[in-house]
Amino acid sequence: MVLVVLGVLVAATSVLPLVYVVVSSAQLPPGEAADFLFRPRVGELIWNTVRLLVGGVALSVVIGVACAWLVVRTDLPGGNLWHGVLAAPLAVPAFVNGYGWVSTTHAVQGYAGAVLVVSLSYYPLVYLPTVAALRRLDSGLEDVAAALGHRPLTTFFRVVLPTISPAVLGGALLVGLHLLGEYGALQILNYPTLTTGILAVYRTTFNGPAATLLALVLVVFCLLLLGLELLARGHRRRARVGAGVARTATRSHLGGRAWLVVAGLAGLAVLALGVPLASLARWLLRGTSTTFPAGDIFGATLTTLGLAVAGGLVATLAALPVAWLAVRHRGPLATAVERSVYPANALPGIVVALALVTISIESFPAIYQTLPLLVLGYCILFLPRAVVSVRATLELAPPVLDDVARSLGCTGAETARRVTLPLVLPGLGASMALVSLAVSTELTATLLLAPTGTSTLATEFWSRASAVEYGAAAPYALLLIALSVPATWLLSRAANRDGLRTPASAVLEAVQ
Amino acid sequence: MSGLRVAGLSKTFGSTRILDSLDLEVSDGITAVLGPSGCGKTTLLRLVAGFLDPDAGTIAIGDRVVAGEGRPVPARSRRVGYVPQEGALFPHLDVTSNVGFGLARASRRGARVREVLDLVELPSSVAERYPHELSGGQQQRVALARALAPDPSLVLLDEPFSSLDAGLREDTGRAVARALRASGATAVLVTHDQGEALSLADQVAVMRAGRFLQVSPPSEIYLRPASPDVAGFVGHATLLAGTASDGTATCDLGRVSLLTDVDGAVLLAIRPEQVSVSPGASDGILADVLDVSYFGHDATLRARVCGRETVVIARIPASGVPAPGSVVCLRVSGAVLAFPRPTAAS
Repeated sequence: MVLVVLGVLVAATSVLPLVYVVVSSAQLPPGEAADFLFRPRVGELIWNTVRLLVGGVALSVVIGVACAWLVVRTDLPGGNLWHGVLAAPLAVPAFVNGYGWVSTTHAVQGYAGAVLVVSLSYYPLVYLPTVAALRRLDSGLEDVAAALGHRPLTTFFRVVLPTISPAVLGGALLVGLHLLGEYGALQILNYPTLTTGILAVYRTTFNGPAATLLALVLVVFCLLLLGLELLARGHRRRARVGAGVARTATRSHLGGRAWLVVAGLAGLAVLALGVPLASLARWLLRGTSTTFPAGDIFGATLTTLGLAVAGGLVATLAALPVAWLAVRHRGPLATAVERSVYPANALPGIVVALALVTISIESFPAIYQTLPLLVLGYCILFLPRAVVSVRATLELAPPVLDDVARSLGCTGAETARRVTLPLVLPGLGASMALVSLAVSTELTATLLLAPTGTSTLATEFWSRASAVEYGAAAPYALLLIALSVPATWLLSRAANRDGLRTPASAVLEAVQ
Repeated sequence: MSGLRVAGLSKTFGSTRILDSLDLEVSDGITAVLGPSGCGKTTLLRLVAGFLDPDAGTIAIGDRVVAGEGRPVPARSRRVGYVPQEGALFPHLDVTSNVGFGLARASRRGARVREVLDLVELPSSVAERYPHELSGGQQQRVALARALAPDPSLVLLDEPFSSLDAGLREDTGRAVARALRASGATAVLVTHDQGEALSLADQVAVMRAGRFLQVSPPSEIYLRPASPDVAGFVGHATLLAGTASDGTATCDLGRVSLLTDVDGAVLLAIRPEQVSVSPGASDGILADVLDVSYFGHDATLRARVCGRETVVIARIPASGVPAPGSVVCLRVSGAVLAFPRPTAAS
C-alpha cells in the first residue's frame, strides 16, 4: 500500500512539467498566444528546428547503421577495436564537440555545420542499439537468405534491416529528442532553434508567457516525433532469439574493399573524435587565455560530483517503488504508474527546468533557487533511465527465490538480507552510476535551475566558452569528457555482449 | 507419522475455481500428481507449501494441522522442502552455500552439506561451483539437496524435470527418486508427463479441473482406470461406444471380450497395444491407414475404420510398418475395459 502511494507520487511528479506547460498555455488568451506564435521569428525557429531534425537524424542513422553492420557482420580488419572507437564520441558532450569545432574553424556555423557536428555527437545513439540488435539477431536468417541466392547487400536490406528496424527507429527517436533539447552545441554553432529561442526569450523576459508558448511548441514536436516512431514501428514484432542460441555469425567478406572501408571509418573517427580532442589539446597547451585557476576547477568538480551523487541516489530511490510495482505487482495501476514516467524521457531539459522555475516561484517560493530543486529537476529528467535499469535489476530476483527461502525457514527480513539485497545491490549501484554520469554533464537544466553562485563543470565551461575564452574553458571540457568515459564504456560493453542483462543493457533495450 | 493429509481443500482466484474440495492422503514414498497444465496441481503444491492460503479445507503435515484451523502456519515454519521448476538456485551463492541455506549458521558449510550432496549423487568437485557453471540436471540435484538438507518430513517437487531434455530427464528422475527414498521423506511430485509419473511414483493422483479422478498405484492407474477419462489420458486409449452382453461387446472393431462385467450401453477403452494390425486383408475390420509415427523400437499408427468416422490408434512392431493410404485389417486382442455409458435417455 505504501508502495502504491510512493509510486503514484513519483509518477505524478514526473508528469508535472508536461501538465504545467499544457495548462499554463491553455490559460493564455487565445488572441495573445496567436499573435506571438504567428510571427516570422517563430516561423524561422520552427523551420530551423525541422530541417535540423531531418538532416541530423538522417545522417546519424546512415552513419550509425553502416558502422554497426561493418563492425558486427563483416570481416573488418581491426574487428572489435573499432567498436570502442565508434562508441567513444558519446563521451564527448555535444556542447564540448561544438566548442572543439568552432574554436578550430568558424565554417561550421550555420545549417550544414550544425547537422555535421550534432550527427557526429549523436550517431552513437543509433550505433549502440543497432550493434546490440545485430548481436542478438540469429545469423541463421542471413544464412537462409544466402542459401536462397541473395548477395550480402541485398540480404542486408531485405532481411537484416527490417528485423533490426525497431532498434534503429528507437535510436533515431533518441537522436531526434536530443536534437530538440540540445542547447549548448547549437548556441555555440550559432544555429537558432526552438530550444535556444526559449532560452533567449527567458533571458530577456525572464518568465513571460512567450517562453511557455515556445516550450509548448517544443513539446508538440516531441510528441509528434514519438507518434511518428510508433507509426513507423507499426505492429512489427521484435526480433527475439530462442534461449541459449550461441551461434557464430557468418560474416560478409569485404575483400579488396576492406582498406577503403577502414579509411572511411578512420576519417569518421578523425571528424568525431580527432577534431574536438585535438582542438582541446591545442587550447590546453597554448593557454593564451589559460590562467589555470586550480581552486575554481576543484570547487566546480566537487559541486558536480556532489550533485551527480545526489541526483543518482534520488532518481534510483524514486525508481525503486515504480520498478517494484511493475515487476512484482503487475496490474493496470502498476502499468499506469510505470508508463507515466516515460514521457519525461521525451521532454527537453529546458522544458522541465522552465516548469520547475515557474511552479516553484508561484507555489513554493522557499525552494526556488535551491539545490533540492535542481536535484528534483535531474531526478525528473533521468527517472526513465533509472526505472528501466532498476527494473532489469529487480528481475534478477524472481519471486520463486523468495518462496524457496521461506520454505527453508527464512522470515521476510532474512530473505531480503540473504537473497534479495545481495542480488540487486550491484545493479542498483550501476543504475545510480548511469544517472550520476548523465547528471554530471547536464548543461541546459543546470543553467536555469542552479542557485546563483553554484558552479558546476558544465556551467563553468559554458560561461567561458560562450565568452570566447576557449583556453580557459579547456580544462573544464577535459574533466567533462573524463566524467563521460565510464558511462560510455558501460553502454558500449553492454551493446557488445549478448545474453547477460545489466542495467546498461536495459537502457539500450529501452531504446527499442 | 510422516505424511500429508488434505481434506476439502478449495481455492478460487477471481471467479475461477482452481481447486474444488480436494481430498488426498499420502502416507510415505513418492506420490505423483498427474494432470494437464492448468488443472490446479501447482496451486495444490503452493497451498501445501504455505505460499498461498486455502479458501476452505484443511492441510495436515504429519500430525500437525498447518492450514484450516486457526491461523495458517507460515511457510518458513512448515518444514517442507520445495523444489521449484528449473531449480531456482540462488545465483549469487555457490553450491555449498545453496545447499546449506536452510541450515543453522554453524553447520552451513559442514558435514550435512556433503552428506546430502552424496545423497543426490553429486561429486564433491561441484561444491565450489556457481549455479551458472552447472548443467540443468546438476542444478536440479542441487535444488533437491538444498530442500533435503534441513531434513524435512515432506518434499514438494513442481515439474522438476520439465526443463531437461529427454535423455537427461530419465537419468535425473531416477537419481532424484533414489535420493528421496534414501532420505525417507514423503514426496509429492507434480507433473504433466505420465511416463514420469508412472515410472517414479509409488502412488499416482490423476487430476483434472481441480479434482482428482483417481488416486492409485501406477499399475492400477494403467490397468484399472476408474473412468474413461483416466483411461484416455493415461495410456492414450481409444474410446469407442459399444453394446455389451454376457462378457462381450460389439463395436466398430467387431466383437471384443470384456474385462469387466457390464451390460447394455458401454464405452470401451482400447489401448494401442491391444490393437493388432495385419497388412493383407484377411479376417477382421478393414481400415485406411491415416499416418504412421515411427520410433525405432516400435511405431504407432492411426487408422480410420472403412465406412466409419472411428479413428483407432494402434501400437505396432517396428518391422513391417504399412504405408499411409494402404488398407489394413484391425483386430482387438485380449479383453478390454468397459465403462457403463450414459445413454441419451438417462
